[in-house]
Amino acid sequence: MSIGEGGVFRCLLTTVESDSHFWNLIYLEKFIAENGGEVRNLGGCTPADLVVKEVSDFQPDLLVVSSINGHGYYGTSVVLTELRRAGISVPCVAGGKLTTAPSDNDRVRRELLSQGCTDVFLGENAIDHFREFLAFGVRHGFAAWQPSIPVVAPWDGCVASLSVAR
Amino acid sequence: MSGYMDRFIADARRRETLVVQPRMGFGNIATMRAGLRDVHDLDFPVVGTITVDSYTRVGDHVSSIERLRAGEELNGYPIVSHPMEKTREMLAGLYGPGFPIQVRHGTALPLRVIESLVLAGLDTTEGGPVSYCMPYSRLPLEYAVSAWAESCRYLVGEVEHGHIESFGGCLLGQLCPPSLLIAMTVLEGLFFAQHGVRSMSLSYAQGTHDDQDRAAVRVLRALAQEYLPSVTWHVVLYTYMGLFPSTPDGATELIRSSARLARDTSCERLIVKTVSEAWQIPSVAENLDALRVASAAAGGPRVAAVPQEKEYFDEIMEEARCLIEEVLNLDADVGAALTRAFALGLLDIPFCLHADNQNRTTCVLDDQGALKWGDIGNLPFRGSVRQNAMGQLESSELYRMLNHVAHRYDHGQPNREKGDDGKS
Repeated sequence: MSIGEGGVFRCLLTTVESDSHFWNLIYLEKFIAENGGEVRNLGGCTPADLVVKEVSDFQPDLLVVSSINGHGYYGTSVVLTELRRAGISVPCVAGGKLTTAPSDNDRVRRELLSQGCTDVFLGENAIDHFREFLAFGVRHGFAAWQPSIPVVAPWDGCVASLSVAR
Repeated sequence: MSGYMDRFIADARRRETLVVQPRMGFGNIATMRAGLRDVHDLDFPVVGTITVDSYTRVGDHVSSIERLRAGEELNGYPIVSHPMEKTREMLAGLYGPGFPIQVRHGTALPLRVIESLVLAGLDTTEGGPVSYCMPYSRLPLEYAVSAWAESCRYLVGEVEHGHIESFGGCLLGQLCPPSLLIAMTVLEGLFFAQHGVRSMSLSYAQGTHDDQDRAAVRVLRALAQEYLPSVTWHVVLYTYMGLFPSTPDGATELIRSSARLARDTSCERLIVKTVSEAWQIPSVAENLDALRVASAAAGGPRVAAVPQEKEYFDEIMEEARCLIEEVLNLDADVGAALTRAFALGLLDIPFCLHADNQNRTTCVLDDQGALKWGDIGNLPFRGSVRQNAMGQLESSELYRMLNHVAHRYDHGQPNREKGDDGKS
């Protein structure tokens, strides 16, 4: 992972194919730029194969997937699968509203971490955690980030999913 | 003779009653029917909604069914993927003159969806070549224009009373000056009319400032009368479409203020949001509550225009008329004129990332909390239209503007509400 001089990193910003929302992307483009990123914003309804192509072309230090339509969990999984299939490894974070109910947040975070996400930012403090993540990445590289272990609610069972890629 | 929607609206208009409508869609057929039945059973004038899921919106008719089979909930009803006889069964005994149903979808290439709704026995939908392409799709605008032209002709060829609502009064949902919303919905209305649609609705999304909104709806009605004299139209208002208050009190008060806005400006129909909007896809019960709140808040006498609206009215009228005229002057074919207008930047939606949008315009909130142009890019305004650009817009300032309404209502400071039937 290479981060350019002056703490500048290259960031590819995208959403999932079914999500047409813009405001999260417009806001994040500004936010990431203010935190040291050179951002390429792919806009709404981005097909996974376009994300893969843009990752190859742009060679970002970080891929950010933001979705708020409730289907981002599935869409992010598709992006991760396509990246693996293309043999591409890039630090990738996801966030927003990834399912249709906030009660899913912990489970979704665990599962996306296990599928290769570097971190997943959900819920009320998502943007503060994302800011900390960016600051860490600028200093140490995004691949070195260690996500906090998501809590497993007793009713969510399956402690096995704690064995996330770390 | 007219269709269910027009007759229902005309009836309610005679009784000076606001028609309310939810934004509601479920992937599961039984859940969708149960939701429609509960809305149908309400004892005030209400139109039913089938909102189509996001996969269908982008033309993916496989993932929706796969996700349902995987046990996930969808954010809408996959009307193309479900067997048509199942959709007909779902509607049986509900859809009728006393309960029109509209299919809401968000697709830039709507033919499959419109074919499906026609086969299901329905005739009412919404969208538009610009309003369902620029904010929702990656497709070039000219594709959407030709697909919408074909779909309009298909609809009016297949059913007697095809009704389309233009979504042009919403665009990105927030941070767009009213004049552009109004110009867009009137232009889409003209586009529909050019392709044979005789029954339509024009839309406007509640903004950030009460007087400005009241003036805007009055401008819309005046321009619709002027530009669409030979079609049947009504105005549909959207409860604020931006970031929604997260407190129940704030959200409820915002819903009420939209209902009063609709009542006072003679909007015939209101698309209502719910108190859980900020958090999740609303449940049926939350939708029913919101419809009751809105319908009740719209009761009582209309409040007349106040003098403070005049300045907004003049400004919005001047800008909207200028936009409409400049576009219509480009080409006799409205679709071609729209495409060319975006290419030239004569139409330019603030913050819209679509490749065919020049994205040179911005919108700001002034010190009154009203929506104003920041940069006007290449918009064809003359005379008194002011730019209010303040240099580079930072993320925190953008967030403040996006969150302005939610913050105000969450902190119990909605702006002056006229005809407030007791502060709630």
